[in-house]
Amino acid sequence: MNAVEWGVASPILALLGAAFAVVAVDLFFPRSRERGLTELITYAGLVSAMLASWMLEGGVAFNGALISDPLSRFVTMAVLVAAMLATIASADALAARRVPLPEYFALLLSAAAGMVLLAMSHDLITMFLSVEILSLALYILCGITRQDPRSNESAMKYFVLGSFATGFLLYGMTLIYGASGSVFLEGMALKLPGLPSAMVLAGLGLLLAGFAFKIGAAPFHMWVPDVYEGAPTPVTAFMSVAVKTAALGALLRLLVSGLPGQEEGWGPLIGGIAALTMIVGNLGALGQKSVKRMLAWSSVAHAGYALIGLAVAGEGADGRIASAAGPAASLFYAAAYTVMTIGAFLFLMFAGRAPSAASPGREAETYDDLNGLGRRRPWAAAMMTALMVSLAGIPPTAGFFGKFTLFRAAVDADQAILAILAVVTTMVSAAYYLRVIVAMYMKDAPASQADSESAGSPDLSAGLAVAVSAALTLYLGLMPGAVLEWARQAVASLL
Amino acid sequence: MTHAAALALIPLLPLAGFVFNLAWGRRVPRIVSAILGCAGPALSFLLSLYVFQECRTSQDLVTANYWTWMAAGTLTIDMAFTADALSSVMLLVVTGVGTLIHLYSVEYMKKDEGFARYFAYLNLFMFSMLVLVLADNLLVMFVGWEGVGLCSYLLIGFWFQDLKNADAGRKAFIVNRIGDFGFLLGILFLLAIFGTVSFPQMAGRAPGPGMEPLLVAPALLLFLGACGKSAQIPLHVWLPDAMAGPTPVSALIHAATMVTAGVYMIARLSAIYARVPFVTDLIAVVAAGTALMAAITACAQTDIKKILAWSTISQLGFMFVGMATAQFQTGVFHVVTHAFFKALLFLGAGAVIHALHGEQDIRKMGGLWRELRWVFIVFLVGAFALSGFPYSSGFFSKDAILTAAYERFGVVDGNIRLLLWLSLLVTALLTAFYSARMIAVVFLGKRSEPEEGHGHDAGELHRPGWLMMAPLVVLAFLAASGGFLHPALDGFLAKGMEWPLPEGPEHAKAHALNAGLSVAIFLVGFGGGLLLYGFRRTLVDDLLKNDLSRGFNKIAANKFYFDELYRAVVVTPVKTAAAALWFVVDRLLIDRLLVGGAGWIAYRASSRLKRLHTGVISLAGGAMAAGAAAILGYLVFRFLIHG
Amino acid sequence: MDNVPWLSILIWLPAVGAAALLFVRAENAVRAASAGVSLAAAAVAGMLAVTFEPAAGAAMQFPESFSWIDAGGLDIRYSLGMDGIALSMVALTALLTPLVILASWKSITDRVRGFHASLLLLEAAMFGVFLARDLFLFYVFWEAMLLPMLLLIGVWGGPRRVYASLKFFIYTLAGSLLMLVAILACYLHAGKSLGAPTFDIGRLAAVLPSMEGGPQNLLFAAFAIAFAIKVPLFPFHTWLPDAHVEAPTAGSVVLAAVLLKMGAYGFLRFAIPFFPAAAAAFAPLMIALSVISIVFGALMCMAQSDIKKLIAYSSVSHLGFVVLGIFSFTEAGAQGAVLQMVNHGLSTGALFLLVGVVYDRTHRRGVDDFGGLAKPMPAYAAVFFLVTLSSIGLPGLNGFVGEFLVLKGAFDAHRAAAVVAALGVILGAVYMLRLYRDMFWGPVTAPRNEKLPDLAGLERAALAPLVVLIILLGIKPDLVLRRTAPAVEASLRSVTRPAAVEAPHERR
Repeated sequence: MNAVEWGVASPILALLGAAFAVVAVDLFFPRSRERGLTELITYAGLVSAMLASWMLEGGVAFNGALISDPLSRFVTMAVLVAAMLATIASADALAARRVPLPEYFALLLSAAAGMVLLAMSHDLITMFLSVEILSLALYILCGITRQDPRSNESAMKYFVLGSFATGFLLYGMTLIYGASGSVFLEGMALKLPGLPSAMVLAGLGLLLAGFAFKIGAAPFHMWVPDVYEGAPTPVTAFMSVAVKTAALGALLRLLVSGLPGQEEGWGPLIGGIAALTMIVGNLGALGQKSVKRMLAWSSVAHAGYALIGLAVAGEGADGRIASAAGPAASLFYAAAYTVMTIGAFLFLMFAGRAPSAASPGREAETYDDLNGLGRRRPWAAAMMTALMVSLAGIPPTAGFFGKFTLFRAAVDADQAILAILAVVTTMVSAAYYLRVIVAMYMKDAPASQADSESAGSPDLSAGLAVAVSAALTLYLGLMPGAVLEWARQAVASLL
Repeated sequence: MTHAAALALIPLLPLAGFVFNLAWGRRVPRIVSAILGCAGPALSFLLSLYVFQECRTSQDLVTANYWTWMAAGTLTIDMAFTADALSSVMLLVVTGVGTLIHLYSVEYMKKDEGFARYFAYLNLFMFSMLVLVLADNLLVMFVGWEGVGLCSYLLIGFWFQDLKNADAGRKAFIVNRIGDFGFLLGILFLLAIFGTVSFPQMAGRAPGPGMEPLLVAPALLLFLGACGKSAQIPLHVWLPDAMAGPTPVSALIHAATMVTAGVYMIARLSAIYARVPFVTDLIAVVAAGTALMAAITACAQTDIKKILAWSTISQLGFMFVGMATAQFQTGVFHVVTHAFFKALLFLGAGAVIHALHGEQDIRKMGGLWRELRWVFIVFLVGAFALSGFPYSSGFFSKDAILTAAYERFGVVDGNIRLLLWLSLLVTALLTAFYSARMIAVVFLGKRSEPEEGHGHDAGELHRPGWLMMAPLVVLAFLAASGGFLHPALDGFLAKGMEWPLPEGPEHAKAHALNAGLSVAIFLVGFGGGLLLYGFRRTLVDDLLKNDLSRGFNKIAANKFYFDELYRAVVVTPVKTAAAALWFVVDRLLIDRLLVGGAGWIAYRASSRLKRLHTGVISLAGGAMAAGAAAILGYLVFRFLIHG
Repeated sequence: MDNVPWLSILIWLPAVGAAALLFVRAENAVRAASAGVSLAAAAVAGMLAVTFEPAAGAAMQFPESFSWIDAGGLDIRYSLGMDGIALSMVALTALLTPLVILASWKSITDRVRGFHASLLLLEAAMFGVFLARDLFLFYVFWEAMLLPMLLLIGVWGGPRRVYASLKFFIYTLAGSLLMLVAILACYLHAGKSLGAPTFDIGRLAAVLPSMEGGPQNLLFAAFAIAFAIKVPLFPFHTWLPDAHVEAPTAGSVVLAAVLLKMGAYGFLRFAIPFFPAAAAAFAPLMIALSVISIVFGALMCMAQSDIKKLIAYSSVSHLGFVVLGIFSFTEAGAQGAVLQMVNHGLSTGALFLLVGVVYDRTHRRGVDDFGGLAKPMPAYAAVFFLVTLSSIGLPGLNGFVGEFLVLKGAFDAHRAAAVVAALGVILGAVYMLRLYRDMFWGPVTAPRNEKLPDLAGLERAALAPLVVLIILLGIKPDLVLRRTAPAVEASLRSVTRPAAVEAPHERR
C-alpha cells in the first residue's frame, strides 16, 4: 500500500472519513444535533474530496481495483458539485421537517462516496460494491422524512425495484467473468475473444439492463416518477443527477476498456434504449400537474439524450470505439444535465416558503404554485427561466450546447435519425418547460396565495444553490470549451 | 429657362399648392388657399405655353433626365420627362382647362368646409396628370396614371361623411386597379421585348418585321388599362358613380382630362398600335360598342350629371375609334375639343345645380332659360358642340373620326365592318338627341313645381357670379371656335409624331360624304329631341305606354345591368370564396387539423402512456423483466446471425 | 476608426443596456434609458450606413473574427461582418426599435423594466442574426430571439396571449431545430471536403455547392422549412395571425418589420448560396407557394374583422412577393425582394403603430368598432391613408418599386407566376381600401369615438420617420438598391438560372 494508492483512494477516504466523523460527532456531542458542526464537517469532506481528486496525480491502485484518470475525475467532480449544492439547500428545510441531520449528512456522504467509487472502480467486484453502497444510502435517504407517507412509499419502491435491478447487474457480471475468467477490466479486455460469444453477449445485456435502471432509462424507468416525487426534494435533486452521472461514467468505462470489440453488440442496443427513453420521458413529462413530477419525467428524457453519445460511439479498427466525440458528448451532457436539473429541483424549495418556527415551510409543487412568481420574486423567476431554457435546449445555455455536441456526434456517425428523434422530442419538451415560464410570468397568483407567500421568507440557502447552478448553466453554455475538452480527454484516456 | 427646369416646374408648382393647402390650409383664410390653389395651375399653364413654343421651334427633343429611379440587373428606369408635339398639346389642354376649373371652383365651393382640402386634392390631381402627360417612359407615366386615379378616388369621396360617395370612390379606384393590372403586365411585356419602356428609346428600337405577334399581348393588356381609365366596356361602370364628387371635379377629371388618359397613352404608343391591326380592330369594336351603349343609356337618364357622364363615356368611345383607325390625330383632336365642350357642359350643369341648391334631377327643372339666361346660352353652345352643330368644335373632330372610320371600315364593300361605321352614325344621332332632350327639359318648357316637403323654396335661385361665369364664357368660346384649330393641330401633331396625314381625292370624297351626313344627323337628332321633349312631351309618354319601349327604356335606365352582372359574377363569388377559404382551409384544415393535430397527438400519446404508470411495483418490475428479455432476445438474435 | 469593433458595439450596446435597465428604479427613467440606448444603437447603425462602401462589392465590411469555442474538435468563431443586405436589415431594426419604444411609452405601464429589457435583448439578438458570419453564432442569435419575443407577446399581450406566444415559440423552434441538424451536417461536410470542419459562412458557401444531389436536397429542405416558417409562407403561416393579434403594439411592429424578414434573409444568405442545385430544383415549389401566399393571404384579409389580423394576413401576402422575387433567381427579382423587405418593414410597421394608436385610446381592434374616424382624427387619417397607399403599392411610394422589380424578375423567370402574383395588386387595393373606408369614412359610428384625440406628440414623433422614408424610398429607391446590388448578385451567383430568362423572342 504505497502513497500512490492512498492518493488514488483519497477522495473516497475523505468522504467516508467525513461520514464517520459526522456519526461520531452526533454520538459524542448530541447537543450539536441541529446542524452546525455536522454540516461543517460535511462541507469539509466534500471540499477535501474535490481537492484530492483534483490535485493528486492519477494511477491504478489496489492491484487494479481502483483507477484514477480523467474520466473518474470528471465524474467525481460532477458528483461532488451535486452533493455540495444539495447540502447547501438541505439543512434548513430538512431540519424543519425533523429529519435527523447527522444521519442525513452521513448517508449523503456515503452515497457520494459510493458514486465516486463507482466512477473509479476498475473491476467488476468494486463496481458492484460501489453500486450497492450508493444504492443502500439512497434507499434510506429517500425515506428519511419518516412521517411523510409519500417519502416512505418512494423508499420502498426504490428498494424493491433497485434490488431487482442489482440482480441483473450481478448476473451480468457473473456471466462475463465466466466467459473471460477475469474480473479486472484489462483482464477481460485481453481474454475476451474479439468475436462475440453467447455468454458475453448475455452478460453484456444483463449489465446494460442493470445500468439502464440506475440511469433511469426506459423501460427500466418506471420507478423514477414515483421515487423522485416522493423523496425529499434535496435528495431527489442529488440522486437524479449524481447517480446518472456516475452510472454513465462506469458504463462507459466498462464498455470501452472492459468489453472492446463488442460495440456492434451494445451500440444499437443503447441506441434503441436512448430512442425509447427520449420518447417515453418527454411524453410522460407532458401534461403533468406537479412540476416535481414533470422534472422527474424530464430526467428520464435527458437520460435518453445522454445515451445518444454512447450509442453512436461506433467501432474502430482495433476494436476500440471509433471516435471519442460521442462518449465525450455524453459526458458533457451529463455535466450540463447535472447543473441544470439539480438547480430546477432545488428551485422548488426556493420558490416555496422557507421553514420557520411556526411552519415546516412549503415547497412549490404544482404549476399553479408558480403563478405570478415573476412579480413576487423576479430573481427566482429569472434563474428558473434560465434553467428551463437550458433544459429545453435553447442557447446560450449548457443544455443547448450539450444537445449540440450530441447531435454533432450523431450526424457525424451517420446516425442522424437519432438526432432527428431527439429534435422532435425536444419540441415536445418545450411545451412543458415553457409552461413553467408561462406560469411565472404570464399568470397571476390568486390574491390569497400572494399574501400568504409574502408572509413566509424565501429559503435563501436553497436560493444560493439555485443561483450557483443557474450561473454554471450559463457558463457551460457560453464557455463550454474547457469542460468539453476535459470530457474529450476523459474518453481519450480510455483508448 | 432650361428645359429641365421648365418640365420639372410644370408639375411641381401644383404640388407645392397641394402641400401648402394640406398642411396649413385649415389655418389660413380661404382666400389664401384659393389664390395659392389657383396660382399653381395658372403658372403651369404659362410654362406649358413656353414648352409648347419650344416643341414647335427647337429641333432637338425637349427632355430632361433627373435621376435613375430604379436600377437592377439589366433594368434601368429613369425619372425623366419628355415634351413633344403630343404632350405639349395635352399640357395646354390640361393646364388651361384645369386653371379655368380651379377659378370656377373658388366660387362653387366657397361655402364648403373642406375648401382647402378641395384645392389640395385638385392641385394634387394637376400634379399627377401633368406627370402622366410629361412622362418619358411608361413607368413614370404609371406614377401619374395611378396618381390621377387616387385623386379621383379622393375627390369622388370628397364628402366622405356620406358612405355612398366613399363607396363610389372606392369602386372607381378598384375598377381602375383592374385596368392597371393590365397596364402593369403590358409594361412587363414591353420590357421583355424592348428592354426599355422609354417612349423615345422604344421608338428607336422598333422590333423587326417578324415580331408583330409579340406586340399583340402588350397592346391588348395596355388597352385593358386604357379601358379602366377611360371607362370603356367592360370597365366603364365606375364613371357614372363618379358623379358623386363635386361638379367641377366631374368637369376636370371625369370629362376633360383624366378619362382621356387612356386615349393619350395609346397615342403615345401609336408606333406599337399602328403595327397590330388585329388589336386596333378589336379596340374599334369595343369602343364603338361602348359609344352606342353609353349614348342609349344617356337618353334614359334623369340626373343631369349622369347624362353628361354617359355622354362622356360615349365620346371616349369615339376617341378610341379614332385611335383604332390609326389616324391618331383625329382621336387626339377629339380629346381637345371634348375637353372644351364637355368641361363647359359640366360647369354649366354645375351652375344650374348650384342655382337650384343641389338639385340634379332634370325632371325637377325646366324653364330655366329665363332666370339663368347666360348659363342657358353657354350650355346651349356646349350642347351644340357635343351634338356636332356645323362648324362648332365638336363637328370638326367628330367628322374627322367618322371620316377616318369610314375610310378604315366603311369603304371595304360588303364587309361586316361597315356596321361599325354605321353604329357610329347612330351614336352621333343619339348624341344630338339626348343633347336636345337635356336642353329642352332643363331650360325650355315651364318650371315644374317642387312637390310638398321639398327642402328649399324653389323661388329664389343662386345666380352664378362672375367667377363662375368667366370660365364658362371662355370655354364656350373655345367650344364654339375650337374647330378652326383643326388643320394647324393636325399638321403639328403629324409632323411631331410622324403620323401620316390622309389626303388625295378619295379622302376628299369620304370627307365630303361624312360631313354631309353629320349635318343631316345633327338636324334630325337635335330637331327630333327638341320636338319630342320641348313641344310634344305627351308623345314621349305615349311612347312609353307600350311595353316594348318601356322595357327598352328600363334596360337603358338601368345601364344595361352591368353593375348587377358584376356583383353576381365577380364581387359576391370572391367575397364568399374568401370567407369559405378562411374558415375551411385556414382555420379548420391548416390550423385545427394539421397544427393543432400535431399537439393533440402528443398529448393523446402522453395520456395513454401515463395510464401505464400506475405506480404498481409489480408492473414496473414486469416492464424491467420484459426489457431485459428484449435485450437478451436481440443479442441472441445477433449471435445467431454471427453463427 | 477602422479597427473599432463597430458591429460588436452595435450588438452588445442594447444587450448591456438591457442588463443595466434592471438597476434603474423609476419607470420613466427606465423608458428614457431604453430609448437612449436604442437611439445610441440607431446612431451607430446610421454611422455604419454612411461609411458603408457600396463600391466595395460583395465583400464583408467591418469584419471581426476571433475564436470562441475551440475544443473537442469544434472550431467555433465569433465572427461578424456586414454586406448590403445585412446593412439594410440592420438599419431597419435600428430605426424601428426606438420608434416602438416611443410608441410604448404610455401604453406599457405594467412591469416596464422587464418590457424594455426584453425589447433591447431582442434588438441585440436581431442585430446578431444579421451580422453573424459564423453559422453557429448565427444559430445562437436566431434562437436567442425566441425568449424575449415569447415574453413580449405572452406577458404584455392580449387575452389569448399565452396560446399565441406558445404557438409562436414552438412553431419557430420546430423549424430551427431541424435547421440545427442541417447546420451540423454542413459543418461536417465541410470537414470532409476541406479537411477541417468550419462554421464560417463564407467558406461554407464555397464548398457546399459541390455537395451531391441527394443530401443537398435534404439539407436545403431543412433550411427552407425553418425559413418558410419564419417568413411565413403558406401553409406555415397560421402562427402569425395569432401572434400579431395578441402581441402588444411594439411586439407586432418588431415581429412584422424585422422578424419576418429573417426567413427571407435566410433564403438569400444560406439556403440559396449553400445549395444552389437544390434551390433550383425546389424553385418551382417555392414559387408556387409564394404565389399561393400572395393570393391566399390577400383573400384571407377580405375575411377579417380584426384590424391586426387583417394586417397580419396582408404580411403573408407581401412576404409572398419577397420569396417570389428571391426564387425568380433574377437580379431584378432579388433586388426587388430585398427592397420589398425594407418597404414592408416600414409600411407594415407603421400600420401596426397606427393600429396601436387607436387601440391605446379605445382598447378595441375590431374594424367595426370604428368608423368615421376621419372627422375626429384628421391627421391620423391622413397618415393612415399614406401608409395604406404605400402598402397597396401606389407608384411614387416605396411599396411600388419593390413590387414592380419582383414582378419584373418573376416575369422573366416564370411568366405565369408573375401574372397570378399581379392579381395581388388588385386584391391588395380591395381589402386595404375596405379597411380604410370602414375605419375612417362615413359618419362616426360609435359615440365613444366622437371625441377621440388626434395624434399626440410622441405618436407623431414615432410615425414621422416612417412617413418620410415611405416617400423618399418611393422616389429614390436607389438609396437601398445601390447598396444591396453587389450582395444580391453574389448570393445568386451560384445558382444555375432558369432558361426562361432570355428575352422571349429568342425563345420562339
